[in-house]
Amino acid sequence: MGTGVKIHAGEGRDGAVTVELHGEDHTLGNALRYVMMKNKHTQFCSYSVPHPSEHVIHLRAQAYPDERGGDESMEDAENAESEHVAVRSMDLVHQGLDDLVAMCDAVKRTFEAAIDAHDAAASSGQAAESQYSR
Amino acid sequence: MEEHYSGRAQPGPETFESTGNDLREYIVYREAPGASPCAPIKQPPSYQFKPINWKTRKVDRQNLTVYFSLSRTEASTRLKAATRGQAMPNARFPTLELSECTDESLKFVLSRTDASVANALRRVMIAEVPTIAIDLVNISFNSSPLHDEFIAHRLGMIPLVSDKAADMNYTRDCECEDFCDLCAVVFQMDVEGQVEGTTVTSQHLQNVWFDPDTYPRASTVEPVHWSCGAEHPDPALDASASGIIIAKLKAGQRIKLEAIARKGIGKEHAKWSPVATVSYKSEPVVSLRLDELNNRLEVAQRQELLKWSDGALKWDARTNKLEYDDAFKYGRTALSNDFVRKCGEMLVQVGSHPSEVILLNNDPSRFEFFVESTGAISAPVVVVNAISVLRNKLQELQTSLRAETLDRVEHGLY
Ligand SMILES: [Zn+2]
Repeated sequence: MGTGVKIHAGEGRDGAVTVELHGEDHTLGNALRYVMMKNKHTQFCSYSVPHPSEHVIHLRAQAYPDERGGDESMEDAENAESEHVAVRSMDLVHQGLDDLVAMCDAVKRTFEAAIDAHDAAASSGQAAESQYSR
Repeated sequence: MEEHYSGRAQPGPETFESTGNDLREYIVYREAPGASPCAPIKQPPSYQFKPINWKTRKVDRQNLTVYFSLSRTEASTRLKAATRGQAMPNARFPTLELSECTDESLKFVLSRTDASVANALRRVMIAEVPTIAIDLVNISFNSSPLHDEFIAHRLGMIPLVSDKAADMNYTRDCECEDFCDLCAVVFQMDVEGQVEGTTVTSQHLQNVWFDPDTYPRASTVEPVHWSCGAEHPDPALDASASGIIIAKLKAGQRIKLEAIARKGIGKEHAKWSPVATVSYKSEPVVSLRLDELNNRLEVAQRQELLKWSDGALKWDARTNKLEYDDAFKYGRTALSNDFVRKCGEMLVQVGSHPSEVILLNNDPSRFEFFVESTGAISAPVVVVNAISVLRNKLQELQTSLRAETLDRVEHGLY
């Protein structure tokens, strides 16, 4: 099972990026798509499994063009625009991973706290029971 | 707090933006009272909230510096535009309520999230949490009625206590030649049928590396003998006492073998899956087509129905019709099962089909999970391990994505 990533960016004028994630499948792809769609800078995000017997997914992201820096002095405004968006699109992917990591941590914290609360309740219940039987 | 929906319509106001990079504000928002059944957690999570500071980003290669090849002002402008809201995740954190919890099974509700997240958790629990299972069997003698492959397969299916699986290596990653106590466990078995007949069970498997001082990890691995005690109140019939049946021998028949157990994941073979089942379902939300209801039922029936509504409906004296009460509109109460049953009966009486009036919709952000362990790892630990597995995957991706991004920046591809 191969691992690693490959980035395809700046290949079109729309500034979208496509990232090949090797060794991943729907498990990560769909969750990542969800958190990236929650990003207010995301104009488009989707993933696909190009072939079911190859362990790779393609994640495509495109950011909204945002306000530009005042000192933008590139000659070809169109290229500058798409390059600008591509950088932002790539940031969406990084942000998506960050968000999902944070979400994992949050679920883990909440779950462990719930288990601790449950154990505490169970042990105090047992204590009460044994007291009663005595 | 601005609500913003991007791209496809998403249910619920789930996207939010902070007015600044104030970590406290963010934490307070996430841990608002009532948001979580647990006490608010004062400590920020281990996830590092990095303030937006393009200068530090510029020199910190660990922290993705896609902007360092640009001019200072340009980088600053782009970074400000692109990383607004950087210091916090964009999606809401899910909440979790535990309802039943034993070593064998677990019920909890994961809410305020999407099916994709629930499904990721389910898929990881089934297929990617590592356990230990018998993988290689050397049979030196077998005169039982079962052929060698049959026995090897049955041995593979026996759950083994895998609490230490996280500390063990995959054999393919291990530095040993063939296998060792860091990546494998060896069991031996030699059973001969007695005159009265003998049942070969998992209890006949002897761990060769049983000494906990020499083999701290391998010695903990043993077949899971328990079954649900409630099903067999008689200890003589309880599988936890007798073990898992492998074969039955008549007088003189014999099985002698050596079984090597290894670490693996369910994706490779289902015998490594730590769970018998993981499922989630979403909770139905009942609503009514009130105009249809008022049209089809008689006044007396409507008045009767009001008594069953438990405050969710109210009576409009002017029109003699049922209306939603404010409590229902604001989600403080819901229509009960009894109400739905009664309402359905009345509709059938007047010749209507209940589905024409009663609407059952699934709450798309609430998932009732049920996890049942095989016994290899206790059910709560399966969940915790699954989250860790998911997190490790993400971190590996982050590392390679950062490296790839930097590579592209250095080659002037941005
Ligand atoms: Zn080894």
